[in-house]
Amino acid sequence: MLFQNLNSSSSNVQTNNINSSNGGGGISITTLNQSTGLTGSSSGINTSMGVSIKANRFHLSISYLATALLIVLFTSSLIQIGITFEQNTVLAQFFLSIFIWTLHLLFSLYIYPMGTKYQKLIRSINGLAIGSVICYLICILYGAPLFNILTLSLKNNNNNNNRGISRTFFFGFLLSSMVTVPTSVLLGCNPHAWKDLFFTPTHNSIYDTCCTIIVVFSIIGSWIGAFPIPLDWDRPWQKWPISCIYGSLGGHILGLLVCSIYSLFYKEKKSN
Amino acid sequence: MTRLQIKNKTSSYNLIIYLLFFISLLSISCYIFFTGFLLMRFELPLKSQCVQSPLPNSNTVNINERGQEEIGCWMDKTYKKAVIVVIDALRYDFVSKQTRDKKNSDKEHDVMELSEFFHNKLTCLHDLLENKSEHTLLYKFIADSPTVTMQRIKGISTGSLPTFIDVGSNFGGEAIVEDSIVHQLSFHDGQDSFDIQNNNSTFRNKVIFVGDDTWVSLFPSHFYSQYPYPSFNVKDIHTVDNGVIEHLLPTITKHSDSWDIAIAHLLGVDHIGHTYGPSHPEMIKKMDQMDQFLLSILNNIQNDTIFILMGDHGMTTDGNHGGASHLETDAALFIYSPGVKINSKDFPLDQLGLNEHQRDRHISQIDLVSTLSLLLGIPIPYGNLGTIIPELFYSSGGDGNNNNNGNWDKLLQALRINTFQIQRYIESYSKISKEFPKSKLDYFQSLLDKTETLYSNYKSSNINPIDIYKGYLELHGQIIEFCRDIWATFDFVSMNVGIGIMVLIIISIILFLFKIIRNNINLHDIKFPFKSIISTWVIGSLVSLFLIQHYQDQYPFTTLYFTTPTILALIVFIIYPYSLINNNHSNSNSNNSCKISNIFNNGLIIYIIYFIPLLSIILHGASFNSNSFIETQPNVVNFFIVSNVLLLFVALFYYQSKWNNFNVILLFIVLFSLFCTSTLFTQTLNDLSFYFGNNNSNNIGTTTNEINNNMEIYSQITKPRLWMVSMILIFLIWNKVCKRVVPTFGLFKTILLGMALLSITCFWIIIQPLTENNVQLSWWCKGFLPWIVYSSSIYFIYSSISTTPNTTETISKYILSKAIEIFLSFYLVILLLLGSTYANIMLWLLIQTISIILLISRLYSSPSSIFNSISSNSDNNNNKTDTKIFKYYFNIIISCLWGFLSIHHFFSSGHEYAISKIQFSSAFIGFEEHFIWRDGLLVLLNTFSSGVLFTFSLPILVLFAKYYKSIKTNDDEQQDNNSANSISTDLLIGYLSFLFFFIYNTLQMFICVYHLRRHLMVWRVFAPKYIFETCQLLTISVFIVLSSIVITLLQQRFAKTNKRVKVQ
Repeated sequence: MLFQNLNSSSSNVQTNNINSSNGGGGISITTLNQSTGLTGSSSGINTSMGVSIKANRFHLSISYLATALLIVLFTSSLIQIGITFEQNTVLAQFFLSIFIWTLHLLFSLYIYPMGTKYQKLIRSINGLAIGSVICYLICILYGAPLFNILTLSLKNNNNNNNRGISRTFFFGFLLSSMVTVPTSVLLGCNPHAWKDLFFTPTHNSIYDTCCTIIVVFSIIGSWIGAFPIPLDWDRPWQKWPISCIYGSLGGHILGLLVCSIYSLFYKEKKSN
Repeated sequence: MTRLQIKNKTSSYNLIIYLLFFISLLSISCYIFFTGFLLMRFELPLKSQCVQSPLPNSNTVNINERGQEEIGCWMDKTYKKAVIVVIDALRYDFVSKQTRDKKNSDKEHDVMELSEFFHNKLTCLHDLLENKSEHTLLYKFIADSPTVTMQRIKGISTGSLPTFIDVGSNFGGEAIVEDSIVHQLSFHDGQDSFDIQNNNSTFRNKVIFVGDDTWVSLFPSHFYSQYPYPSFNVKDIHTVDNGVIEHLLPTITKHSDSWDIAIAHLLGVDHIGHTYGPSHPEMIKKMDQMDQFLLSILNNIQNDTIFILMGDHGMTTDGNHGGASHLETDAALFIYSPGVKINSKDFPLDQLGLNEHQRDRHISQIDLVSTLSLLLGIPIPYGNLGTIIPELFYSSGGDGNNNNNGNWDKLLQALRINTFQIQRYIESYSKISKEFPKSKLDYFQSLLDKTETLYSNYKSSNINPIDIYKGYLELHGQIIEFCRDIWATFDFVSMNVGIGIMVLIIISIILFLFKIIRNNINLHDIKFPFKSIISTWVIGSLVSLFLIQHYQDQYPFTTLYFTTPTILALIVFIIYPYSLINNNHSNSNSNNSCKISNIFNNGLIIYIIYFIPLLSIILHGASFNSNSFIETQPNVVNFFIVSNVLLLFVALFYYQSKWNNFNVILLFIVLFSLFCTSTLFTQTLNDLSFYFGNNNSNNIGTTTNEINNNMEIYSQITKPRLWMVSMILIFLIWNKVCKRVVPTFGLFKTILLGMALLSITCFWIIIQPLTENNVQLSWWCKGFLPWIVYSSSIYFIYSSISTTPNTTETISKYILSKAIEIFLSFYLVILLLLGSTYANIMLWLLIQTISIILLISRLYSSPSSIFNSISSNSDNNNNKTDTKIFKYYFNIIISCLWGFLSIHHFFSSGHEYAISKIQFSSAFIGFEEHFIWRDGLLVLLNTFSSGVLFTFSLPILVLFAKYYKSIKTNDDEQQDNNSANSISTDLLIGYLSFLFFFIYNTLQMFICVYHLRRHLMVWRVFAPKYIFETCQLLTISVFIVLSSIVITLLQQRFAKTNKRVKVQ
């Protein structure tokens, strides 16, 4: 009952959002159908709103916290197994990004109100694919090595550590699993909806705000992570993209924690 | 009425006045810091001559130079051969015998404890010192700062005090121009390395060098034979040492004709210090190896040979060096001469006052040169300032009898030669530099005269030779102390004052900008506080006159004079209450507090957008504290530019309600052009060419050389086409821009523009390849095409200033069009100066600038619309603060983007922060003969081309962004009058915020250089960067003043014509 209630109230908000951005396509229609099916019930349960939000808040906060903890656990276990970022950069990045992708997918399946399971899956895969290409390009713009693979593979063929191109690409993959997957699961791959999420000063639902927080924190984390790369300390973690991986992971986890705290103290504006 | 007019007149110059105020104070602070930090010395190219003794009335008219050299030039030879071993970073206590109870007895040197890693390891020297005490000497060898190997080698070989900038004839190369002991050893009178290269003559002595390749770069083709090893890699401990060990012993045991002087430089100890620190097991191994090596050498020293072992500097407890602490400066000097007595027991050390340090004799590092030269019978290098080491001459002077006279004779003769040589140097140096005041020179002369009269009576009457010796020594001491003052000590007071004034300037600029923006002050309403600033200046200079009287001897004159007035003036400027003058806007009380609870809800992104440009400016400046950030600065700048452009795009999205495809296209153009101009792109191209070249060689079986040749030929063919394409594109873009915005840009100017571009292309394609292949062309043939470019750009500037404005156009449009023409003229000249390699980069720069200007103007025009529509509805207060924040943000992003872009293009146009990378050849484009001011101007324009271009594009940006709408729609005249006043305000804000970027960077560089002055990399990384940063700041500020003058002129011309129209 509670879950249904949560579904209805948020999906209402969500449909408004998508309608206003005039371009949701097929996705918006399906959500619209769902919401129209539920409108009657939502108006009926208005009286029990206060209780539901409290539980909802608690639920949300816990799940954000759980996501953060799971990421930490998975990362540490990866390192324990022996797949460290320093030695098997590409592999570790790949596993981590797949894990984070599944986490966000699961999160959306259980928490996010709108959309069918199939839709969410498709959306997340789309987001991951497009986002990783975009992130890769942005990394190159920022100065990541582009064709180092060619020279290095020629110079010493045995050195597997320096596959510049794949490292950069999988960093884009990881970053997109942190940045674009949560957003695309929430909104689909419609640039207008994205623009509305990130560039409008007011947000309609708590999901929007939390998503923004997570995305911004991970981006800033990876931005800051790039700072120690030029220093001449000769540490293994200074190599591109290892410090950025740490930075973005830290930012992501921090963002999730902030979300879990924020969702506890969140007050629904339009509840009155 | 008249008063009002006068007020109007002065206020219309406000833009220039404010800028001049800041910039003059800025240059004062730069100058004061400069005098404190950078010690300058002129290198004299004069060389000592063997036949020309420095002694007065010396009748050595011995024409037979070679015969003279056999006996010894100024004095008779004592030794025929010498073995000089330099062990880098050999500290005194590594050599001297350390005892365990030392730390109890010696409170003065309480730093040292007995270390098992490096103490008492060189046992062969201890044995010699004990067993043959009359034939050995051990000194504490005091180095001057900077204690860096290169500067130390210079000091040891020339006998002078090297400073960072030794202004010599060749600016770029490292080779020593001054006279040095190596030069004197190798070459006869009037010879130099060119003669040897051309096989015209033989060496004076056969000098053989083994070891650190710094020597070879300092003394190119000075050596009879050489075995250099790379010194660059600090982690490589053994290469140099093994090379020395391999080559030195065979060399000195060979037949005596094959060598005269052997110099060896070992680096292992220093490298261990840098890599592991001195207290490391590696050090034990290294010391044992050194002991073995020295033993093998010492056993093979013949009787006619002198052996010298020295360290060039010491090391701190963590193994670094460069500063002036005792551990760094106290190196060791060990002298061994098996054949001749050098440490006579009856030398009266105590009476000479040389024994003040009880156990350890101190010798300055520069003293070795004169001693060694006289002992080996060669002239003392011309620029030597060191005193001879007396023991060596005293002890070897006696003819075996117990008669002391012979000893004293030899010592005094050597000392006299030395003294007159120093005197000669001081005189010739004071001819080209004003650093020596007349009073000092007279004082030195009087001291010399006094001692000379003593000396002339020495033989006849019974004067104690010790007095004469002391007289000469006092003169030496005085001279060296004075020279050290001007050449080798940082002036901390000046440095601190420079930093302090800079900080005050930054604070006053920020506060001034803040006041203007917050209170919406119009520049015409605030008069520059002439009266109060001039009066404080007068008071300040009175105080400083007082200071000068009292402290003139201790601190430099400029520091004393300028400090108080500038600081007072700045403080007055900060305090001066502008807000009282015209504060109609009482909305400073408005609700500034942004509700923190709403931050996440409705503005997380916007705060990040606002915050990050400022943050990136601050971080970029702070990154100068690390040498690795300075070395990778192109990448750092690229990183920040990309972040800021992306953020600009985000901000645009934030403010514009609709998705706009044009913005996306602009963004892509900007990002793509950034990528194409970045160093990464050229790197990638290199990688690609390497890859394909290699691949081909594998497949076809041709050698890589051929492929490379093919590639070169290919690029030579394609390059002209590329220029042509980029020239045509530049022409098209300019033509389009000019036609759209500049109405007066007629057919004549279009033709002129085309001609200039055509002549640049012709110059590159035809003339430059010819001159590179040494084809002789007459001067007009070379100069003709560049002169077309210069004259056409001058014509552009002239016509843009002189033409009267059209009465129908608005002032903003008028000034904008003229600003574009002026930018165009500088663009043409810089295009020519940068050369053909960077033509495509200049094309990218143009495209980039235009698209960023468009993006920013869109950003500026968007919020007003969004706020106008919303403000009628609700939340009036909130929006007001938002627009205010937006104003700050807008100026920050202008300064940030423009600053970063100008640094980015500094690198992309092939420049680096290194004096050797200045493109000096650009001074001779279109000119044949050397003329210092014009050459300097051209080189400056070449080096800081990006800064100059972005300075001149700044007014375009500001005007186009802020008056974008009114330009487009040709608005009514009432707005025009308003905008006429606010144009100069906006320009002032823009200029100051642009300047702020560079001032902040320079300040950071000042602070870095100040507190890292003992860093290992100071002279290689930080100091060149500091010089470039200061020059960049000054150049940009000069050009800012120039462009502000032009704009003020244009404004006045416009006002005049408007008035005339109204009167009619």
